[in-house]
Amino acid sequence: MSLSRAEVFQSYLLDLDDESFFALMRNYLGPIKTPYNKHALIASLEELLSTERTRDRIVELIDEEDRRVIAAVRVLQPDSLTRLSRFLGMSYEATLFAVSNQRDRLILIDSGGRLLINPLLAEVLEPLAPAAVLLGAVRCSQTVDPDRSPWLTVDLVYALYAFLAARPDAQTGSGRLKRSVQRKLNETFPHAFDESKARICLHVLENLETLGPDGNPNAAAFASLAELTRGELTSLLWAAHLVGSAAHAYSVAHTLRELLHTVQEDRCYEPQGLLRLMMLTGQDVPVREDWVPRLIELGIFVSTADQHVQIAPQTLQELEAAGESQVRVHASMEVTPQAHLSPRTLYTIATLCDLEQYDRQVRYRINERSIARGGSRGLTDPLAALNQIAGDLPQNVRFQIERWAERAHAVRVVEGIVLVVKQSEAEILEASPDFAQLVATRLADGVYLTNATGSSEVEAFLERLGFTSVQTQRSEAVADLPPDYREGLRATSQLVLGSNGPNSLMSGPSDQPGEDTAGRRKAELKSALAATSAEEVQRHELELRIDRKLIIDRAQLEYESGASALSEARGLDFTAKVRLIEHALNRHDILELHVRVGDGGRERYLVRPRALVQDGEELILRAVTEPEGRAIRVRVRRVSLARRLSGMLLRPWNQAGD
Amino acid sequence: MPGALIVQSDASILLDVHDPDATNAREDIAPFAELEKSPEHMHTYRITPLSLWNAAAAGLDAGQVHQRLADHTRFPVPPNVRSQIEDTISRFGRLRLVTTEDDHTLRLEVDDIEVRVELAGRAKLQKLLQVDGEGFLLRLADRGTLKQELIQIGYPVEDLVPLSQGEAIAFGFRSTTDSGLDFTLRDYQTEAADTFYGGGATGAGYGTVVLPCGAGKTVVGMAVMDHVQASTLILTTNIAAVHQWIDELVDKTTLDRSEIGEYTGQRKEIRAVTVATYQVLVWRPDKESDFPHFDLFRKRQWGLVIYDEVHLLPAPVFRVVAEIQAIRRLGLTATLVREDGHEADVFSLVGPKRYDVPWKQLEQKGWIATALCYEVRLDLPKSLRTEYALADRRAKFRIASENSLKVEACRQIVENHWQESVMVIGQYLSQLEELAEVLDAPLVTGKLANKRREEIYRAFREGTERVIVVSKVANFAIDLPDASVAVQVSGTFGSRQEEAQRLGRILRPKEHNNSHFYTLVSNQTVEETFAANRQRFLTEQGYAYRIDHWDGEFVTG
Repeated sequence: MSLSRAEVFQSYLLDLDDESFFALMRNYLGPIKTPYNKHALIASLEELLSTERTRDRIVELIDEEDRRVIAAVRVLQPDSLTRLSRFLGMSYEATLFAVSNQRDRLILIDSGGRLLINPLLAEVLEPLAPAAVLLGAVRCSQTVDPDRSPWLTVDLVYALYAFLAARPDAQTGSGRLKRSVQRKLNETFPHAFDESKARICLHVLENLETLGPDGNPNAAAFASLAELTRGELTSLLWAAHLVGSAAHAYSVAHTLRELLHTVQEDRCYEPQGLLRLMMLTGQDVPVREDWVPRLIELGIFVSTADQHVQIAPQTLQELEAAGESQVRVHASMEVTPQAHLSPRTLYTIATLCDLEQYDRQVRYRINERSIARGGSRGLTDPLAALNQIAGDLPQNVRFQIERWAERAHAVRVVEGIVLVVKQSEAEILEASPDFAQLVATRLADGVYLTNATGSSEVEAFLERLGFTSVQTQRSEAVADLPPDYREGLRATSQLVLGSNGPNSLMSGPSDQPGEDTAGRRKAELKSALAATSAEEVQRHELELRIDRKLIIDRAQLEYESGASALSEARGLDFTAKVRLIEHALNRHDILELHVRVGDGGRERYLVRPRALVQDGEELILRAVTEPEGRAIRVRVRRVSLARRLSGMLLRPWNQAGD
Repeated sequence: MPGALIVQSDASILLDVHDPDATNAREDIAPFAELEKSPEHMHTYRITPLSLWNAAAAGLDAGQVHQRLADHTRFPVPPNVRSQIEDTISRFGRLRLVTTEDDHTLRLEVDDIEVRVELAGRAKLQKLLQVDGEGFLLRLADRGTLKQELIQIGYPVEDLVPLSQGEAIAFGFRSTTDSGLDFTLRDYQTEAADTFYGGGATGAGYGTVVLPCGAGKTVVGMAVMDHVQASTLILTTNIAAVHQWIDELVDKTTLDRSEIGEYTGQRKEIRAVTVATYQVLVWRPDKESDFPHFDLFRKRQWGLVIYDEVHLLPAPVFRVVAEIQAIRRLGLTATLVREDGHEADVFSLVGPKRYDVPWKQLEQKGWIATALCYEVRLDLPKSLRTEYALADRRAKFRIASENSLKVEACRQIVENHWQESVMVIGQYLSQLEELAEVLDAPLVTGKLANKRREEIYRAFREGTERVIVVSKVANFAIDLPDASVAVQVSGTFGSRQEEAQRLGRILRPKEHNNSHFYTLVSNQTVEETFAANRQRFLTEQGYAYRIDHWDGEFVTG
């Protein structure tokens, strides 16, 4: 049964501790005579609040900040101060002060674990704080070019995919484009597409896991994105510029889309207002302050002279554009896709063609190399694929593509692990039931291409058959042998395992593990990490561990990413600190705490946590210091750094610092 | 989606020919954009500084250019193109070339002091210019060189110096040709001549007309002569072409043969209308000597110089062209492509493109023949495959070009077109000799005396020879109106211009048949790549190719 307004207010007051209750009563009703009756006092306060005079006085004192807080509480009904402070874009302390003040002024109350507008005053307070107060929305006074449009589009991304696919190893070791590639990029893309936009694009593609560790495009990832609708993919690309991981981008994309449909084209918004609107749109999306400048960077919003932002006139058109569109294939082998094609069609074009020019009209060209490249990316029937998107092709184009596709199959390069076996041993291996599964194809007598992804898999198989001493030979060594290498190999009495795959974990006797091997291994582990479902914080933690060589096997990633592996929280990330403390409590970890003290300095404690308790608005950690064994209470919001010592693998204790 | 035009950031304009607004859009942009290519779906125009300055000279301002683009564009015009148009057009008229009291001296007027300082500081210009108050003085002979230099640094000159009128002659077109046929100018020929002449106003009377082979460029030249009515020097590529010009002039105009001079290696006649070859102009006794025949330009008060096949204008002639900027000059060509990359020099000296029309548009109107293009792929004989695989790139091309199977394929094509006039065109002498023998046809190469060549051409025109085998000597300016089939057995490395010219040999309109253009290409060899490059020019003009594999038996399309 729901309570009446008065009952809600009464209940709030009765739940206050005596000290707070009487302080409040004394403030509004004057000195309290004993014996007192709480219900009578509450009734008096209610009566006071019902008078027009009292209400007028309360309203008169409400300033702009009060209005924002009231409006936020009204739309949010927050269950925590943290949420409210994020929503308002204020510090935790400032929010705490503002809320405490409004509680004291009887504007806000607590009820059912949430903060509410005092129901007895709602009638007069709510009209003062409409939702628009939060958005800072005003009618736009300046006109924006009606053609302004976001530049990061689905067409651009697939054009960039075609560009990069035709230039393997386009990036330097530090992740920048090589100069020659940058020059070509400048020629191929229009003047407006500068280096900073290229960097954003690459960052977005990395976030969406469409670029491998070497910077080369991952065809499967692009194909997977092509399954989305154009609108979905557009919002995902934009979201990927706001966040740091693919999983996060997917969750933000939906909110972003909703937001863009909510904002009004003729309104200008305060940046913080826009963020608040986004928070309201996506309840669980952790919005960051830098999102607004990033959205402006993408051209989705335009900043106005008075520090407001306005949606770019063509944003929604870009987001929702869909329609019937054509792809034209010319007798000159040029391909000109029209606007608003589906990602699937664009993927097909970008996979089978070279990009000639990205511009208002994008131009691609089919050639022998592009058809071969398409084949190696899974489009093995280019003619059918192009027919499907462009209808009938000119006869010379059809003829030529058929020939090229045919020729692409005439010779093949196969990457993999090759097993070379002396003829006498081959019979033993072939008799094994597992052999058929291990071997992809027989290349020649005693030479097999395996399905294995690493040499250890083959070694394990061989060991099961009794070959415990297996020589692993790198492909370079094999290449050095004379052309009749098989004869030479047969002369040896050992089985020889060779590899020419890029992911080889093998090393021969003369190939001591060195910096390159470590670097390669780290890259593999990071790639494996990217495929896990680890959250962003965990991912960061695990990347650090990989860099410190603490992760040596993929299996570690699986149990570490499954667990809450956070080892450190600092700065304003209050939630992370609380999570870390809770985690330490459960696992009986020792914590290192850096706590701000009154004079602006810091104290450092090594503690064993005992309990985390709520004390009014404060979260208090009860703990025992180590090694003294002294019981202390620490206000969590005063903690500038919390670090689990079981997570101290990353940093020696004496080097730790803020 | 509305709008036939798409303006790209590199200042090219794509015209969607399927758009209902395409014709209007084409007409609106033609004054300030040059047609680059016209394939089947989208034609490409380009806005260049030269095209904008010509538009400015014709009275268009930046606002009107913007408006014309805005009227037809599908997407917003890129901002950099908008500012490029404004900046470029604003430069026109800031430098003016005017006469002085001295007939041999001109004056360059420059209002802007900063520009004057900049020009005065340039070493190359210091040799040509002498400071004179708010401008400069220059020699009349340096007029072309100065304009060329200024254009290179981004300053167009508004040339207000009247062109020389030349010695007057009086002639007209015949309504019935000397050979008894009715004759009138075609609409595009009239349009081309009118556009070039510009009513005799300042800013017109020099430039290039681009029309496909077989579209009657010679007639356009004669129409311009008709406007100018002054003594004319015509320069062309070879003696056969000289004779064709003379024959045409006699056939279609009231000029008497005695009024027309031939200036070649064989004859040195200078008359009111003189037709000369480029070869004789650039002949000199040794490498150190001057070119004695350059005097031809000065020996008469020419009112018009026509450069036939202007894309072949020899580099030494550039100098003299620069000196004679006072004379009206017309360039004629089918292909703007110049393999040595000197297109810009040619067009800044002779003049910008004044008129162009898509090839397919003339084909649709029946002014040139409908040409069906085939690429016939032949395997290399097994015996040659290993040799080919191990050869270097140049040798590979030769092996592929001389694929012995081409002879039989060519024989079958000629046999299939047994009622038509066939030209077999190739690059290598031994291959051509073999073909001439197998086909029992006369062979025309550079080695053959001019007289004998013309006899063969005449026999081919008259139908007494149905098949001729020719080397690259027949690439240009040879009018063989009845040829309807061309078989290209080999060619130079990917020359697009050569491909277009060879096709041009069979584009004269035919009464009953379409023309057929065959290219024989060895399968899976470098010839495929070169062939693709050669064909690019034609596909960009809207021609489609059919590719067929020949496996010993060929059935004509």
